[in-house]
Amino acid sequence: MAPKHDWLQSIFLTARQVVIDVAPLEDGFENRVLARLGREPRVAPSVLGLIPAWNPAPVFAALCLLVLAWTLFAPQAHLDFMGGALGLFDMESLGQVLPVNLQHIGMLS
Amino acid sequence: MSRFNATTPETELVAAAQNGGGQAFAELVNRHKRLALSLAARFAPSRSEIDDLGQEIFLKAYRELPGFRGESSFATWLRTVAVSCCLDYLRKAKRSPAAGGLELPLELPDDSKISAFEAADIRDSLNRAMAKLSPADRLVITLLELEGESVETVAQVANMSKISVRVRAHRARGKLRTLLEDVYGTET
Repeated sequence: MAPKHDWLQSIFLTARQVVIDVAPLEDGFENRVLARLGREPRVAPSVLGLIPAWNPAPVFAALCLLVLAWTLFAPQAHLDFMGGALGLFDMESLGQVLPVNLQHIGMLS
Repeated sequence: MSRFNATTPETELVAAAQNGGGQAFAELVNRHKRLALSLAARFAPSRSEIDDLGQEIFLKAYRELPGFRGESSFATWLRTVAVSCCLDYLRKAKRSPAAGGLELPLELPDDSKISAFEAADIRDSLNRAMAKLSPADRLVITLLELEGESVETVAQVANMSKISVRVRAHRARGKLRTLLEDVYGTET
């Protein structure tokens, strides 16, 4: 079967032959580039650039583990403090119930 | 008078420019300005913006010159820098520029079968349709179809995988076909 004539390819071929004449811009172009280079501020490390790149994911994971460990093993006073600080739920009740529950499942002696 | 001129080997110019030699860099700009301006003219709409984008290409090249290891020719490396600059330009443009180099004359081959008027008409229609593509799709289709680059070269200079280049080109051709169908699709 003969290939179907592709009108889009014809447009591309025509457009490829058409070259924009940039000669009017070439005159003195290197001088304009050098002038702009002269005005460019020297590249200096910004304050942000001095901070080493870090990934928040492991930091967040470590914080979660810390909170979990604290919840499981911290004394009553610490649990109350954390519950108050976070304001998420009634840590006083949790502080009383959780150690008992953990004792039941053998995680706390 | 500058000790660098048209006969100075390019490796010597690059080495001197890497050490901050302004005159050596000026000679490099002089040798490769057409490459940068021609590519800029594919994307920027006006004479002043083409000039500005061309300058941006060389400013970026100057900043990145210390990283040039000479593994490819300076022209090949500069083309990569230019493509990256043009993509940044398209992304930063509030809306995609509709036409390249409208204020500049067109050059047609001597044996061209179409008139300059027809050529300008085709170019303008195509540019208006290209402006509706995403920046990356427009860049890929311009390099492949208008600059005549291979998929491998486009992937290299645009920092994309070959598959990504093919997918983007396919998508862009489909969209252009839809956009231009009313004007050119029934002529054949």
